[in-house]
Amino acid sequence: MLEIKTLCAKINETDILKGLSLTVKPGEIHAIMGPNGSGKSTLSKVVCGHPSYEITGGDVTIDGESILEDAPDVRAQKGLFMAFQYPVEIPGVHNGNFLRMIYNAKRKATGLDELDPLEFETFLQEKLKMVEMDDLFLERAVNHGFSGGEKKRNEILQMLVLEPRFVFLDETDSGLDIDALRIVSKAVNQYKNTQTGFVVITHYQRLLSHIVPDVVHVMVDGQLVKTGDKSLALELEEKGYDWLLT
Amino acid sequence: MDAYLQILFRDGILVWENCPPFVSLRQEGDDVYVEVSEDQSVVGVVRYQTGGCIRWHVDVQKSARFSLISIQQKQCSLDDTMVVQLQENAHASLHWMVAELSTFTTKRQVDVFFHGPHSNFQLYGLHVMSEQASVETKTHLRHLAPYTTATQQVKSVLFDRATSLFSGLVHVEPVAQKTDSNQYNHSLILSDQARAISKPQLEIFADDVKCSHGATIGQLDRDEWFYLLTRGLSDCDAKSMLLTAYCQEIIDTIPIEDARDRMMHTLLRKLATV
Repeated sequence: MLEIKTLCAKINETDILKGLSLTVKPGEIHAIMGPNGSGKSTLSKVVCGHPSYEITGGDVTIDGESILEDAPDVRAQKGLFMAFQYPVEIPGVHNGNFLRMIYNAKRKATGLDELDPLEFETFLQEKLKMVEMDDLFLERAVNHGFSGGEKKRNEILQMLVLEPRFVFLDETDSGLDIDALRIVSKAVNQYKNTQTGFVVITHYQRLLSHIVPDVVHVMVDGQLVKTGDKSLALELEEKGYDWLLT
Repeated sequence: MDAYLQILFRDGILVWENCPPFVSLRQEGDDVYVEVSEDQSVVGVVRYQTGGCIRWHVDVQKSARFSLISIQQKQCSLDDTMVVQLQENAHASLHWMVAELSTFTTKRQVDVFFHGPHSNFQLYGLHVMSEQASVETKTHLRHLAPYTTATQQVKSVLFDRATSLFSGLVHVEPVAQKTDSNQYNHSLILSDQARAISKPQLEIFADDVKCSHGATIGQLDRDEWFYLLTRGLSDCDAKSMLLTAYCQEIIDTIPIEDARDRMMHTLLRKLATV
């Protein structure tokens, strides 16, 4: 279970998260919506350990154990994954080799032998099909020159390879056309299982009609101000956020 | 496929084997004279076994191409000068890729004379320096004929107390219309005490040219580093991956696969020690 307990965080002396609490159990899908600047993306970065943010209060635990002292890679090994809103381009790093490296880093951390390139390719084929990408996708540099949709599909491919326990999808639907949205959502739904908890950060209800949340939260000014079921997303789509800001 | 010439430099002496007949290569003291005949193409890889002083005088004839790869990884100082003559009616091309991975001092001076139209010069430099190493690169390109092109791309990765100085001057004569010349110098500073100084300069006396210059000095991108860590890569592996990617662009200019692979291997060994 992932527990975020009255978490407070700031950057450059500006408080962003102001006592936010959220519990994500395996198998649950939580959606977080909210106006621009409410701290949604900061939440996922802070939980994953971005060094630019300073934690000023609260705790984040996985299975009851605090992860705040852990480096981002250790958090990843404990099962956290974040699909970035703006995936980073890494020119010069072969995407196929990168995927194998991150997979082997995970295997190594769990005491398993690394897979050689051939074994990994066999493992990867099924994942590639899930995001409807072909082998040529592996020959390019990581995210370098990728379209917006390709970058997001590459994020989901990394998620499928790493098989994390808790996933933050940070505005994964931004920059996606209708087909890419369908592919990404389908892959998430295929991966979804009773062992994995999702936090889906989005501005739009349309993603939530593909990836159906169990719980919808509204985030305003660094806190969750309202929680409801999936119908809350529809209500927000219709009414906007103003009625929650007053 | 281009002819491939392997050259060793030891105690001031260059040693090579199997020099193709269309390449004239001779040494007189510290001066080394290379001439590549018309329409021919050759790749030379120089490995420095010791330090010393060497002055290259390169003459690339009409429609000839010469690619010289200089790799300095030994713990010794080097004074390396190159004077390039790209001949009249040329379409001549010279590519010089230099890699410095030592912990000592390297001084490099490059003087290029574009005598003929459509000649091309490329300088790709990669300096991965640690301890008290310093590298100084001074370039002076003289565009003396129209339609000449040049690229200078020099990248440094500086650890410990290492320093790099790049001073580049591109001079375009009034007659050298349609010149296309650019020079870029990028440095990554990976310690509080490392230093990079960059002085790109242009002197343009022709009115129909494309010339650009630029310099950046900075650190590893924190967001790129964070991205890799969130994928479970260790701090060490993430930095190594980002540095390798930073250097890759320069290494990719080596036209021979075997030499390229060896260069990458040398780089990874260096990165593992710093």
